Amino acid sequence: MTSQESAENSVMDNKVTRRKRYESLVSDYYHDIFRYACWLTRHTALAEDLTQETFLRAWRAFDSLQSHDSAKAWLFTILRRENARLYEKQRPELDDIDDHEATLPEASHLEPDQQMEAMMLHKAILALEPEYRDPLALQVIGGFSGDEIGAMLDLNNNTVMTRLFRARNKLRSVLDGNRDGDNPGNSLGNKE
Amino acid sequence: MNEHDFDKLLQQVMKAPSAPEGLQNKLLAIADEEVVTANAARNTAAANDSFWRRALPVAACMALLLGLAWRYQPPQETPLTQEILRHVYAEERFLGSTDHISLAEVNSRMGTVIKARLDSSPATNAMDVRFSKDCWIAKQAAMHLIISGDTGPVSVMMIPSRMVDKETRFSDDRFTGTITPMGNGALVVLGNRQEPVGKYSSMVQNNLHWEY
Repeated sequence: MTSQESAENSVMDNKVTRRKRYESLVSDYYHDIFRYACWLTRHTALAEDLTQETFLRAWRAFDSLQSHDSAKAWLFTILRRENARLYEKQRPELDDIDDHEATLPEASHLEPDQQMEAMMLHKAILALEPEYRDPLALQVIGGFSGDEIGAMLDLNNNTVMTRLFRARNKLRSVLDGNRDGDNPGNSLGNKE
Repeated sequence: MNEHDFDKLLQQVMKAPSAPEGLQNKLLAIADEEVVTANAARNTAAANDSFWRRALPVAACMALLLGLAWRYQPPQETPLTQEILRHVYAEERFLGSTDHISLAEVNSRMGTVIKARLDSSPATNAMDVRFSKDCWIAKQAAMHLIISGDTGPVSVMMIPSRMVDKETRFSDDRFTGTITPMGNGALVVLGNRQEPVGKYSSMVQNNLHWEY
């Protein structure tokens, strides 16, 4: 084997390895990336576009990824950056995901009471201010710690934990209010 | 509801959105498309490195390709028209955008994406821009505007490095469009079949400047 052939084989091996690592990245994280994009954009079609943009950028910058362990935070950071670049300034007028049943849990997985509570919780999450919804989505979907969320949102850990605490309290108060019949004005509160 | 039940329900609701069918394949295809591009570039470089060793097979291929090209010359714009229509249908949802984007905002984004700008003139100032985004068209970054036309939304796409040799009209059941050479790039204007797209194409041509 000549040195040139050896070098070409090495390049080919690197490309195959790179491709396999990328496939693994897609397979492991594309569901969570899409979910987070849904809550960030509040629209499934925009979320799909954003997911594709995220992985396109990720593939191009793939060599900068140090290890698979840090891949998830890396992808979420890319997604946030792409969302800011593409949609935050001029998001088109579109129906939000609360109009899309596809983004609700499958009814077959839930008891009738839970279905109503899931719908209420879904609306309540969408009604949260982004400063509360965003860290909550990173925690629940991404499984990130307070420190990791703080690094992504440029906040200190205390601020993140306070926002998470308040976000959960706001959501619980919506559910508890309905359960106790304290919120009859809520259009979703007509529990049977 | 206790803490455990609340957490469980929160997980179910926040993780409920499921990725559309086919999304995974689209994401994997990103790597394929980029690899094809990289291979083409690498093969070109390799051929330059050892020209004499490869001269004979290259010459044979060239002769074959020239022979084929002499017998068959496909219309240059055909693939581009298909790409344009595919892109417009893929982004059909943006045709209904009701934003109003100023010329300054449009120029700010155009300057970054395609190094071009639209002059301030009575025509461009009267232009009602509803959507402005950098897009990936014809395998390169392009600018996609949607403006209000006479009969509906009109898509204006500026592709900085896609050369076309002549003006081309194209249409399908729903849209009609025109591709016009501009500098080293192409200007595409597309609207409903009743839309006088030539009028908008002229307006953009008269006010567009590439900043090479």
